[in-house]
Amino acid sequence: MDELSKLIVRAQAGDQDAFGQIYRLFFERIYRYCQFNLGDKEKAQDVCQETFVRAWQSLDTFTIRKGGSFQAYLFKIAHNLIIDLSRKKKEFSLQDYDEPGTESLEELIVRQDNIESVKKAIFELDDKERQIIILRYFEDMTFSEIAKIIKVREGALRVRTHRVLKKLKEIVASQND
Amino acid sequence: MIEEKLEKLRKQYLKTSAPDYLLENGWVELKVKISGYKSLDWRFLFGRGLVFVSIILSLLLGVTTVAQASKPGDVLYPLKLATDEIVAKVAGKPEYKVERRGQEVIDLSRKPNGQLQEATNEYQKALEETQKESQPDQRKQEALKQSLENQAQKLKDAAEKNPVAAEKLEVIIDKTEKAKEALEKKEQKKETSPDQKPSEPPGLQNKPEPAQNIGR
Repeated sequence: MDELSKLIVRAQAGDQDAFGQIYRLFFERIYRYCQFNLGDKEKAQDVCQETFVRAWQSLDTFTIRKGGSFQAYLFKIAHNLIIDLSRKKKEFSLQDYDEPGTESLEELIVRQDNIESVKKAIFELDDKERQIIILRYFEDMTFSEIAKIIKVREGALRVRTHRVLKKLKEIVASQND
Repeated sequence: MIEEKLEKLRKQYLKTSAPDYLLENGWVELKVKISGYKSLDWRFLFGRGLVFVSIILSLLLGVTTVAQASKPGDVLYPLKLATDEIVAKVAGKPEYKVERRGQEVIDLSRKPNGQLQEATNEYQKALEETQKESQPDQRKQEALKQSLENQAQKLKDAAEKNPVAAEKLEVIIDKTEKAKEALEKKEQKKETSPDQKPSEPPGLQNKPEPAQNIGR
């Protein structure tokens, strides 16, 4: 049993300190994911905290023995909260997007040349397609983990990923025209 | 290439870090929140327990309901006997068991098969048990007598309608009538027995005649 699994077992038994260690391991990633999706620091902060509250409340439902991935479990909760929030407000857009911290001039030029159009294109995708890109290319997750988060079959996800990339390419190309 | 662009965007994505406030106070705040939810956890667990118990009860209820249609020799028949026993005890009506077994015999007499013999056996068993159970209570015995009278009549009707089963039915009609007669005899015995006059306190049985009768 690895370190994380031991912490999960302890947390499931009600050990809050163990859950605190889990929190420290994952909160940066969850925050980043929320912030990218929501484009708002405060909302991202709230959703990030709420993700861990929900994770604690339903920790019993997570089973390591069935090959459960804890990061998929957390990202799934975060994703559901993001969907709920976007359904309520339907207001997150690229215009609201908070840029990350300081960057060099060189980075800024690169970003303006390449990244902005891709980011824009990502937000033109539907929610599931966007999650595929974020989780696969930014969070480096396996197809199996992503399938659990966005509730699709792994086989279908592989095909869909290919299509999403193609779609993204087309959107970026249309933006450059 | 889109993959390259995505890789660049990824680098930027990874640069996103949580605000200092969250780094410093995130867990402290969260710990307070989840401590508050501790009692909710219990409620959640209680809720799950309640759901589990409800499912089990529903299943039991379903099986018990199905068992009511079972006949002697069926898998669920012992469950039917057990529920009848409980109903008879709770309602204080031992004759209920005889009535139920009698109905089974009547039902099976319409299509006599191996189950009819088992049903008559069960009827006789219920009859014996009920006689014992209602013995100390006069009211129960009266109710049993009435029930046996009805049963005997129903069984006779069934024997007339189903001549094929008549032979087997005759046996239990005979037993039913004998049980009824035994009850009647007991009743008569009690009525004629002098020590069964509870209204007269002991010692008053040999009381002297009233004064006005003396010398008449």
